[in-house]
Amino acid sequence: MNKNKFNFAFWRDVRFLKWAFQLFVLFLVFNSLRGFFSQAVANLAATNLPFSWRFLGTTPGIQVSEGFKTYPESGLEAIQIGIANMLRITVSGIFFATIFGTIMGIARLSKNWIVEKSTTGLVEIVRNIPLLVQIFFWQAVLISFPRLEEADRGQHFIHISAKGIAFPWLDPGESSWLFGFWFILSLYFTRKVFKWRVSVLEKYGREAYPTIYSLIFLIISNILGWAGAYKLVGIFGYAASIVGNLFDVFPRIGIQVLFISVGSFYAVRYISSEVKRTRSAENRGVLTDDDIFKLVITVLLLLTLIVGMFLPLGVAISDFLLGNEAFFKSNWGLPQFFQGIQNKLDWNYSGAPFSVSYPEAIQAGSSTFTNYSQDVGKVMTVGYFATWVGVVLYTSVFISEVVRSGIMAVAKGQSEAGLSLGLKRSTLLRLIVLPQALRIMLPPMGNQYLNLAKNTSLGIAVAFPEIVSVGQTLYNQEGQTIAVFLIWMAFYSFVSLTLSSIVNFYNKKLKIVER
Amino acid sequence: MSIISAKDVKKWYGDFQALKGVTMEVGEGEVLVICGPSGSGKSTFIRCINRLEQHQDGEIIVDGIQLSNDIKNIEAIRSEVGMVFQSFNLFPHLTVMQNITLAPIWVRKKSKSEAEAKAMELLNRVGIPEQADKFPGQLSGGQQQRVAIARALAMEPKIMLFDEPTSALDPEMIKEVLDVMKELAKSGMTMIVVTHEMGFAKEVADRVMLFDDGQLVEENTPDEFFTNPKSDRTKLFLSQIL
Amino acid sequence: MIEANTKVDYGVVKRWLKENLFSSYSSVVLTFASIFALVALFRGIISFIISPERQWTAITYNLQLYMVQAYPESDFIRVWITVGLVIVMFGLTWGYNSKNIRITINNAMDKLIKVFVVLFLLILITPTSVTTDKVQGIQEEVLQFNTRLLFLGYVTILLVTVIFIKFKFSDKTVLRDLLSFAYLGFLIASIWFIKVPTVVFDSTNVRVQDQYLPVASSTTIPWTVLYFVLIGFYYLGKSFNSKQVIALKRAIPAFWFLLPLLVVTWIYRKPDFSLVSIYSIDLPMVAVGLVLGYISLFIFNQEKNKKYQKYFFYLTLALFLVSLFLPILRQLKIIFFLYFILTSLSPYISNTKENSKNLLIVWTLSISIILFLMRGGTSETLIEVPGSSIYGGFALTWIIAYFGVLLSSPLGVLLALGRTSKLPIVRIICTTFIELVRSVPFITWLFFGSVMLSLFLPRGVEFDEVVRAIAVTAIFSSAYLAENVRGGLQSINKGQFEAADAVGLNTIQRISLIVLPQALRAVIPTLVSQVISLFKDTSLVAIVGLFDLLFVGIKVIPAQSQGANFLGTVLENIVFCAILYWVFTYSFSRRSMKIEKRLGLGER
Ligand SMILES: Nc1ncnc2c1ncn2[C@@H]1O[C@H](COP(=O)(O)OP(=O)(O)O)[C@@H](O)[C@H]1O
Ligand SMILES: [Mg+2]
Repeated sequence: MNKNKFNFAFWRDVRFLKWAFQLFVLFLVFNSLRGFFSQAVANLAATNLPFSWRFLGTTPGIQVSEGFKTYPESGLEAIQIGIANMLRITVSGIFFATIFGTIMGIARLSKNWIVEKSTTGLVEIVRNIPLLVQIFFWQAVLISFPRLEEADRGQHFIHISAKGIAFPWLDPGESSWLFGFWFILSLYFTRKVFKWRVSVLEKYGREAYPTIYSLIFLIISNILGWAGAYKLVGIFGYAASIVGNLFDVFPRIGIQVLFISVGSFYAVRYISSEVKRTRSAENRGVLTDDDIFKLVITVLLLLTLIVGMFLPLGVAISDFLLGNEAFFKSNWGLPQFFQGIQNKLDWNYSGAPFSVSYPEAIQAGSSTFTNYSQDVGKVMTVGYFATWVGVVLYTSVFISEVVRSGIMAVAKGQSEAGLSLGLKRSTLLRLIVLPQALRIMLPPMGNQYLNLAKNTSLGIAVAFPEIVSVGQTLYNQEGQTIAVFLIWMAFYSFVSLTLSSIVNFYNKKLKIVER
Repeated sequence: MSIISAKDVKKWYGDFQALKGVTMEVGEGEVLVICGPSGSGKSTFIRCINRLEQHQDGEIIVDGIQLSNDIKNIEAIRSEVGMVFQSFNLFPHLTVMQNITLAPIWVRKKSKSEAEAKAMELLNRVGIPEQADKFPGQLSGGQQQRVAIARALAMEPKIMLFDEPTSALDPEMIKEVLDVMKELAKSGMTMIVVTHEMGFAKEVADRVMLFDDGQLVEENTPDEFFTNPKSDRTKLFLSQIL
Repeated sequence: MIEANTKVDYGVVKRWLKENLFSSYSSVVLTFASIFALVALFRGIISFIISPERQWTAITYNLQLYMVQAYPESDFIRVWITVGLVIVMFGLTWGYNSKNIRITINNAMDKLIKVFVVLFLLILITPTSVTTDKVQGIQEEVLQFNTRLLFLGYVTILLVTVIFIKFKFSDKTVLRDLLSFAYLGFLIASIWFIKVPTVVFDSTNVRVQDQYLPVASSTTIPWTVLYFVLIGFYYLGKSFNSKQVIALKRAIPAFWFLLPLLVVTWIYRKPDFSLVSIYSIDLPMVAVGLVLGYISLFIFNQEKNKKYQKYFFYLTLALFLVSLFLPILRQLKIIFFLYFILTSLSPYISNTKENSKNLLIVWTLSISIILFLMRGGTSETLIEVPGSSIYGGFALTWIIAYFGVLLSSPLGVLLALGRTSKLPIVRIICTTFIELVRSVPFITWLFFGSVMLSLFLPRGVEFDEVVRAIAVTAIFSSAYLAENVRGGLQSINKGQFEAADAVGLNTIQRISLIVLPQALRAVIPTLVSQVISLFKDTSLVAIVGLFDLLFVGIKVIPAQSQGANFLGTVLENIVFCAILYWVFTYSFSRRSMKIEKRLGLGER
């Protein structure tokens, strides 16, 4: 368009004003950020602790009270322990909070007055007390149990003391990975069986018992698996070894180029189709958060692939940049990945996948104290217990609210419509109420999961070594506060991004089902 | 002298061309009715006149003001041209009185008492003085649309635009809104009305236009338009609508 | 008529039981299981409370510590003044907004009867003995038969009284507020009579057996006085309402807003100000403000001078901008800034002489208040406490919550507007900020505030740890707030924007007059729950070592080995903290639900 057609000063042009304002804001933000950072650089230079990532590679000399290792060999490993602990509590927390929350949500809709009132009372109590207070409470409760004493030494079934809760646990045998993989496969096929029976039901209109069929299938297939059928899964290990061997046979660069070009091809195709879709008439080029997530994930995957292929190169660069050799000590990369699969899924393994072991209280080292044995059973430490119970209870209360309002939103009109169609109550619940309620419940549910993940950081108050707590120990030791903060930020951003992508994915799927 | 003149106005939404070169003139005090099938670009065109949408090619001159990206012009145009929407778009959190006095106070910088006196006069004119302190949600559709007309008139515009003002109304309420509009037309206001109320067009319009597919298909006096249309497209349209 | 009303309709009861408790077999089982579980829970709680292991004196002895931490006892009158002012405002607000709702005595007594019957049953099922030694299973009797009978007797007397009142006055009604006063009065009266477990020292300052003693008069007298103050100001507020003092409708929220500021700058801080500086600096400055305001409101608002208004506006803008770089008093800069805002708004908000006069008064008042608060806040404090801050205990919890909300609200609204804006750069900046802040847990931001913030500031610039905690809280909460407000903004119909444009409002007017009022009203429920969760989140400052309520409860008191020695009394303290938090959050959420309902009705 020709601007000169109109004669007015350029600074009265709305477009100019808009961009001028934006550039002004950008300038302000940029300038203050720059100010802060240069100040930080100057301040750090004045101390004798300039910013560096070096601590990730060196042995920090700290002890982590629980986790897959107690004395981490590097800062990175310490962080990994923290992450593993955090994930441990988050995953099991989400699992149990969902179950309790659903039960409570349904109980709050109960027609039974006393059940409804007492559940509501519980919800009101838990919801209105700060989570931190609750976590301290559960810690204090467990600590008020008797100390673990010499009198308690020996094997137990379940044992509670001020040291924690000890209970029996499954010890993995060498074939545990095989069976685990078998189990996941069986879940997949159980779903298939369920769908098949549903389709039979829909096609012939006679009762086809989808739930019963799929349950029986699940049980039988796992009994067979336990009895030794898991060995069949070894085929995957074998396949992995073949792919792994390709790396030795063909020139490495060829495989790298192949993988990357295939990956890039699909990524670019995907992105361009996305862009085209969002440019269409009804969307008018507006990217929703959803779309941005998808694009970001695609790019991240692509980057992962590229870095994964060229990992040795990446290691060299990072070593050069960070100036340390130990950063990526282990030999990572796709060949190693396939080798790992081959190791875990070897069909020569045999024996029972898991065996039960019972907790045992023993003399701790050379001291006279009593402690639970690390090798048998499982101990829920005080920190874990307090954080876990606190977080699960707190979240399930909020989940109960989600479930309740989700069901209530659907229940009224829809279920009446269903009943007038002559559907059975259970069918009604499964086919009409639940799918719609799930649609409504999913996004707020995802929010609650995210809150749970973030709330596990309160474990620091009861000395549970999750990532924030480990990070704090690290910077107290090494002084690299900013680096640790960046790690926290990256980790939690990653967790929220992942969780919301999962939620978005299912949301999309459910939407399609609805159509 | 024409108060509105549009020359070869074009407008795209993405790849889709909504206006394909519209040229027309409206004289002072004239009442113009625009009709045409849904999606033909009627709304888009009259929204370009008060710059709720920006046209991308051609030129529009309203009361001597060239519509451009000049911020001064945009401000000026908005207070010259009043608009009434299909879905009323009253401000639900303000009373009827506040709805009407808002713009005079904040844009015309009138005093509150002055604005309220004027608003009362307008409410009398549209026939609902007793509803001044109610909220829009408490009024019927016809009453709401009349408040919307009063709100637009409160800015003392030279031109009034109506975008299908009666199509969201129940039949029994259409008349009360049309009566207000007829009265307005007779008072000499320049009006552009997008409507399918052919009775209204016959009675008060000076000219009738037909839009189709982003183009001005026919421009005629009401008599000619209904009895002896020039184009086949108009005949087809009339046969569908009457 | 009366008989029909008071007779118990057994059919109704039966039907209720059948429908709500015994509607089916599974329901019967559930009912009995729940009753069993509830009884067991209740007995467990009671035996926890009355167990001889418990040291509830840890709380009664440390109540001051809980409320205000180390605030010196000699200055306690300041704390009482604070509480008093809150109560004054509370009474005034209550009275002014009182709806004169009347309820029948019959209904009120019915509720009381329910309460007393439940109390009776609970006393009946209270356990008699508690296990004192878990390992050896030794039981100790704590509730004698006679005591139980005594309590049952009390409750029975109350029950009989209530039933008597019910029958005697069943057709009478009473103001609901009066009833509340009666209950409150009962509560206040009871603190004169009840005995609480108290720590006792002998003459050599050695702690001896705890005793049940009456509440100290330093507690009972102020509360009793405050009770009457409450009633007094309730009636004052009521009379203002009946006399149609409209100004109070605006003034009450303003007072609530100012009260905490006044408390933290003057009342609580005990500033060491000199009268000379007030006379020589603050008063002249108010005079300057008065003159400036007169110029703007009376000279340039006149019809004949309107054409110069624009130039005057530019002049004040220039004045403000230049003053930023001049070595003049901070106060003056602030006045210039406010003056700039006044001149830019005055054409819109003052049209008549009358209006201008009112505005001049408001303007002068606000400058005086601002200068007054600044004088208090910037003077040295005369309060001496160990540690860096005079704010501690529950008071600190409130201060962080109040300032957190105060600061995060405008920031959150701005961020939400930015995130929904059509300007891409602004949108990206706001989105990034919001998502980054929200992605990490609050505790990491608190660590950021306590250990990292000083790294980003020029050397020598040190903020008090409380200030840092407030800043971090405000920033964190603003991001969440922004998301809530965004929900409201997105719920607004596109037609509203178009209508605002069509009547000629500019962007700022459109946002402030049309968009925000609707958006905020739409999200009031989520905003309230956001505020509640901010209040709960303040407890996290205990982790970074601020002396808030929770920190006193879990770290300070269980570590007291001197004097009364409450080493290791953790559970009691946590339970107390939990109850305190609960009472406030619960009543707040109940209250907000009622307001929501009212707003929802008002809109239709
Ligand atoms: N904001 C918009 N974005 C994309 N397309 C639009 C937009 N507004 C209108 N259109 C398209 O422009 C065409 C003309 O619309 P409109 O002027 O509203 O028609 P009418 O008012 O005559 O029914 C329609 O096909 C419509 O789909
Ligand atoms: Mg239209």
